Parts: sequence; structure tokens; C-alpha cells
Amino acid sequence: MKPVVVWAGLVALTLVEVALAWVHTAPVLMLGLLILLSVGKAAMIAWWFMHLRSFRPRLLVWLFPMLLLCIGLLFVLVRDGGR
Amino acid sequence: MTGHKRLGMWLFVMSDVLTFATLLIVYMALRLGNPDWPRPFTLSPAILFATGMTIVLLASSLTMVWAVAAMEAGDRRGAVRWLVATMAGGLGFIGLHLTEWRHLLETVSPGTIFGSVFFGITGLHMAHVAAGVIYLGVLAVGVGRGKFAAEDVETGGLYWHFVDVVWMFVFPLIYLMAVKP
Repeated sequence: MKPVVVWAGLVALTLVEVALAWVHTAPVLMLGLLILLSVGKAAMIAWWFMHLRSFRPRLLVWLFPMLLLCIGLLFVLVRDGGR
Repeated sequence: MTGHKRLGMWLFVMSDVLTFATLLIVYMALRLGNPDWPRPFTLSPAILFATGMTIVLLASSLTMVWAVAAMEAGDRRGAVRWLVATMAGGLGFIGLHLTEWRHLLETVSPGTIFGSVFFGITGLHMAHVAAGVIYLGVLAVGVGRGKFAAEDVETGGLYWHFVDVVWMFVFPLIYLMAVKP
């Protein structure tokens, strides 16, 4: 895909996020939707701009699940810290 | 051995992802745990201004992609031109951000929970952008003198895109979750 098309897609998703802020939904729903859109935008940047698609599959399999596991553990730790 | 610089940058990026993830997860816990969370941002001009900052940063990522492509095609002069354009985008972002901070400091105290979270997270991100501008400046000078290879520019690009990725989370979670009703 051409970089300009990816960029236009990222700008369009940003405008969708701003439109969501205009609507004023419940904070939990709003947070969920915004995180979903942000993950999508981050994936687009990583896949096309950071050339993740040409990454060696073995590295992809080792590194990214570990990163997701660490982020998942952060959620657990924050909840535990709130007690 | 080729690709070791890229791998090194990926490992750095992943470790820095955890830094920002920690800050943003703590922010989300605070935000959802406080029904009276401050909402200082109006859609116009605050959110429109921040949207402009986002578009500037995204545009600088696009020029970075073109810098890497020019370098891979052996066009050093083109690569330097796009690297300078990327730096200009980064400096534009910092300028807009500081302007926004100046206005916000009139109403939000950095000593409050919201203030410390806002200025802490956006300040750390701005420091990353500033470091990126310096990094790209060193790359541009080196490429212009025929020193660096395409992989070096691509490695710099990984850092710059990472800064962009972080902002893709900071903008919606910090700004859009604090819009005045």
C-alpha cells in the first residue's frame, strides 16, 4: 500500500476519534473504543511504516507475545496496587 | 551481519513501550477511578489544536518513510531533504505543544493529579520528540557527508515512527478522555 494512503487512513481514524469525543459516551465505553482505534493506528504504523511485515517470523513470534504479556502483567499489577 | 542495528532499535523501542504503557495504564486506572476527573479541554480550540499537532506528527512520519525510500534508492540528497522535512515536522510539533502548555498552565496546576499526569506523560513524549529531532539532525549531516548507510536511516526511522505510535495513544487517552461536557 502507498504510504500516502496509509497516512490518509491514519488521519481519517484520528478524525473518527475526535468525533467520538464530540458524542460524549460513558467513560468505560469511550475508553474501550479509543483504545481499539489507537491499537489499529499503531498496528498500521508498525506494519507499513516500520516494515514489520518484512520482519523475520521467528522474531515476531518471540518478541511480540512477550511484549503483550508484559503489558498484560502491568494491568494486573495496577489493579493489585489499588487494593 | 546485517540487521543488528534494526534489531537493537526494536529492542529499545519495546523497552520504551513498557515505560509509556506503565504511565498510560496508571493514568487509565486514575481516570476511571475518579468520576470527578478534570475535563479542561474544549473541542474548539483545545482539541482542534491537538488534532493539528497529531496531523503534523503523522505528516513527519510520512516524510520519514520517504527519507528511508530515498536512501534505499541511493538518493542521498533526497534522503537529506526528507530528513530535514521530518525534523521540521518534529520542531513544529514541539512548538505547537509548548504553545498549548503555555495556555494550559493558566488553568491547570502541575501540582494536581491531573496536572502531574498530563504534564508528566506529554512532557516525556515531547522529550522523545526533541531527542528524535537531534538524532535525525546527526543522521542528516552524516548522510550528506556520505557516512551512513540505508540501514542507519531505517533505524532512525524506527525510532521516529515509535514516537508517532506513542502519540497515537497519548492523544485519545489524555486529551479526548478529558473533553469538557
